[in-house]
Amino acid sequence: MISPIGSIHTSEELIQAGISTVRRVLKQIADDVKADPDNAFTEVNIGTPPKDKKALRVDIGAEDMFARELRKYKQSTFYDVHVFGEERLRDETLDLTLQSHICVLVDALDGTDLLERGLGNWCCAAVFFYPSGKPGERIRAAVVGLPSSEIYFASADESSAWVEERVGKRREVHGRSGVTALKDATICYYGQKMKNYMSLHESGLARKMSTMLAKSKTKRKTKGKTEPKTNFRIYNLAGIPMMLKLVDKLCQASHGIDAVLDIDGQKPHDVVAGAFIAMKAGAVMRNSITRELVTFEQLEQSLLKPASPDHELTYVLSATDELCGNILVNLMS
Amino acid sequence: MSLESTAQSMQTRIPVSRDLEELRMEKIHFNLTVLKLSPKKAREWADRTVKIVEEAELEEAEFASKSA
Repeated sequence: MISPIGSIHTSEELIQAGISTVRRVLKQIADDVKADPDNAFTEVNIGTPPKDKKALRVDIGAEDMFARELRKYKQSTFYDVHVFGEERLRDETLDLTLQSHICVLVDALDGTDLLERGLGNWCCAAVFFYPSGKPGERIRAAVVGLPSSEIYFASADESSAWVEERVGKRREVHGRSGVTALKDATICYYGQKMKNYMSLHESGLARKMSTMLAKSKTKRKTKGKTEPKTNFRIYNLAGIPMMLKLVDKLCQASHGIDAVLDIDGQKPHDVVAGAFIAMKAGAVMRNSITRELVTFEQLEQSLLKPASPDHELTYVLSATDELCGNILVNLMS
Repeated sequence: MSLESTAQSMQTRIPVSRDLEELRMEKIHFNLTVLKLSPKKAREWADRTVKIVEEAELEEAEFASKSA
């Protein structure tokens, strides 16, 4: 594992540091919520007016924990890594193109609304990148921790993704499904907020679902109830945890997540870490508007301007390119 | 209670290594100034953080010694 010219940390070192840090942050989040939920979910203002922003204590605490633990890891070997936390990203003009250090974009607690409701689809996500690196090789590593304590990661130097289930116990992800047809697919999209929910509801995909349902009903009516029901599933929970599960199907016989999509646009901290891991494990990502393939270089571009509204990502991340195409055709029809 | 006296009382109450003591002080300061917790809560949260870091370090050291 070689480090890019000018960088002093190899991808493997960044992964080790990232895993150790994420593991501590996960414990901190669980502890804050368990021991003192009233305070954890109370809003405070951070920053000074007019650039102040409201945030929950549990979010800020997690982000601070990440920055500190990374800086202190292995006798402060990683002190030079510049941490950009989601809670403190307020300057839309922030441009990291000329940064000569390794940077890490962190969403220390992604999915606070889910944690607050006792649901499990939240995560702690970090993506390490080297802005001065060669285009297409700037993302050095991504590390994502789930509430189950599983930590998923991928490195620039390897063409797969791994999971650390507990300290030192690692395995390669189980892989993705081979689903190509929409009628057999399990799709996830971010649809908790009204705007996001309606964006899919009003798309061609919703009309396609009506057609699939009508066809299935007619078939069962004419051929009897022995005709199998469609396997199609749609979840309005998405984000990085679903991207990881897309490439880590439980077993050969089980159904998995076949596609994760967003048509409204998401900030890089909500997408890149998970997309990088999934793409390393073979998933395909296409822009949901232009239908073009999203490359590692395009993910990097979004990281260089992490708070810019112009760098939000609209995408379909899929287990197979055929399914990706089928979703895109219907989405915009 | 001022930050300094909070820090001193913590220092005398629980003997910890310099790094963990430093973490405790940093956290108390952060909890008071950024998270705007009361001094009592700020100490409680800092103590819990120290415990988490301590446990994580032990777990990692244990694994390192096993695999060495």
